Amino acid sequence: MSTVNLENVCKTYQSGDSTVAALRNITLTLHEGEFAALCGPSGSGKSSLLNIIGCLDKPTIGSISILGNQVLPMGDDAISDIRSKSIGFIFQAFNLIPVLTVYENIEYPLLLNRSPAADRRNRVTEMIEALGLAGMANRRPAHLSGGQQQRVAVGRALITRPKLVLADEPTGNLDSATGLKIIELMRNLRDQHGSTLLFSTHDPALLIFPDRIYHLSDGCIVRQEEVNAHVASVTQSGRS
Amino acid sequence: MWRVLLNLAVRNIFRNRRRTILTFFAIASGMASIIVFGGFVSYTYFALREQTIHSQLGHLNVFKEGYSAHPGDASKYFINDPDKVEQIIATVPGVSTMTARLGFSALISTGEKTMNCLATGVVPGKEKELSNAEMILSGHRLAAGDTNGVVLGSLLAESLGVKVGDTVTMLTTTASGMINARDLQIAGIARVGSKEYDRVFVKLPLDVAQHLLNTKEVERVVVLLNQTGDTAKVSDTLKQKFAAAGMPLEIKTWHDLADFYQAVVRLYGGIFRVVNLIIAALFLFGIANTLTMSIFERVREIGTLRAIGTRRAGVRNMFLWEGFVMGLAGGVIGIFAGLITAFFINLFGGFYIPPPPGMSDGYQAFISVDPGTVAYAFVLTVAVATLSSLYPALRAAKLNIVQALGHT
Repeated sequence: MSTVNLENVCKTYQSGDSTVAALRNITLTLHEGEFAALCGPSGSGKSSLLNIIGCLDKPTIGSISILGNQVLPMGDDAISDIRSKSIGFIFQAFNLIPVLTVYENIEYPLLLNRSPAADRRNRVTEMIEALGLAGMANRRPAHLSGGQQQRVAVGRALITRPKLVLADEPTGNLDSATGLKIIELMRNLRDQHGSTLLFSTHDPALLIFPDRIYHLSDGCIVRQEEVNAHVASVTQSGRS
Repeated sequence: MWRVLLNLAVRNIFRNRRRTILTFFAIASGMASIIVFGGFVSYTYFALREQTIHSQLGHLNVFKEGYSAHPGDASKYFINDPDKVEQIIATVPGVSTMTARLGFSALISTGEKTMNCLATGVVPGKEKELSNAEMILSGHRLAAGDTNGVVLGSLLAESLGVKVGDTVTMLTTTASGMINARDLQIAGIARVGSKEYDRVFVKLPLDVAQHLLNTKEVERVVVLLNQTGDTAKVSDTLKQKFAAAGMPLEIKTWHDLADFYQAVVRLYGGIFRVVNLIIAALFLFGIANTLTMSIFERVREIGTLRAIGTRRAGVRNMFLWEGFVMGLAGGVIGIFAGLITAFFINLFGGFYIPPPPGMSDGYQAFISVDPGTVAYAFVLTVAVATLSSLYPALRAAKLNIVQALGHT
């Protein structure tokens, strides 16, 4: 089963009297466990596409299904539940809740999903260890470096073991070395949890990690590139 | 989930401490104002009630049945056996004292000037506890031995141009309609609080009044109780006892007869409600403004909460919790502020209230903190604070996620 399936998706925005096309006729399928990247210059439609795949926005035309569920007919609460249970988000600006500690930021999605207290405690503690943030559990985001904040954001995105993790320019606010570590961390955690991972970037240095790269330009996928054999086997089994 | 939202709400409230402290201060001072003003109103009711009871009306007035239904024919509804009535009243627990009275209208004259007056025949020596409002300006109160004395209101005495020791003539009609007159000597001149009443006030011994009206009957028996709170209970007991004795009597409580007290209660009650409304409106806009500003500062954060799966209702409830917690905290601070303010006002002797319209004397007001008013003010504060957060909460819940995440 595909994790994400987009067919002929278009997205237009109204800007004054003119209509701006952010996405044009996008058809895309992401399979279970796939690690993919959206690549393209600013304004190419990466964020718009991630917003639609992440059920944060709706397409103007086209259809989208997440984990076999058609999203467009769903109500706001049902879409919120899909986001809390099945999708993890990582943002360029980290977007941690400033009044919550590291522990509480990572725990929040589990609270939304009403996980039992003991389970929450174990999973959050393990995640903090895996992120290399042991000893910082009680710190607030303002007292962390950018790299540490993004680690917390990765932990928050993966704590519910979502089927799909989306990251919008996750290294955009980090130096190159920290950025590479974050992508590597995301890939390792993806490997452990088997999530499908899609991130956007315009940094060519990060494109050594994904299995597949979608090149976007002016709202269109102009090229897709398979980087290693892993994706080929997944695609084959998904199609068979 | 509500615990998470409550936790977030509490932490968000203390994020901008200066603004939060100012908001708490506004809520607390509003609530303290309600408590202090409510305490002032409560004290005024209490003081006026006791003054009304102890200056004239007593707690209960016993009349012959039909008296109140025939105000123009009062003399036909006098009590003809007041001693027996008093004997029955004396058997009821809670009664402090009682006295018979005979009221009538008359003309009072010095020979040169004649004025209308409202005379009351009283039993000298039994009136002390029921004459608190009478301030003797010259002379003395009626005493047990005064067989021909009279006390006049100061404005009436001024109009007649008389002083203590002078003689006046009182002219009235007897119960059977004959004209009767008697010379009386002025024993005292008193101020009775109300200017209108002061212009017509005359008090004379009951037997003199009965002589003038040519009757052995009395108009009423006034009963004073130990506790005002026992009024209804004693009234019911007396009704049963009079009925059992076969005496056709009716009982009016002080509340039934205290028109001025009821007017003051209506007036102050209205003012209190208006003050509450103004304070509630200030709360409403103050808290709504604080939370709306808070939303502008937290747009991206709200977008994040929604993006990671918080429902619209979750965001809405978080802001409602913020309003509720602000009301709760501001309310608790307001209770202490109100109680401390009331304590210091009372400690420094209260404050002087000038005479109300138509009255000759002002009074020293204190703050009588009433638990009911405190509870009312607290509930009002919390409710209005929560209500104030409704609009910001709905606004936050409706934010577009993508636009919110892109907000800088």
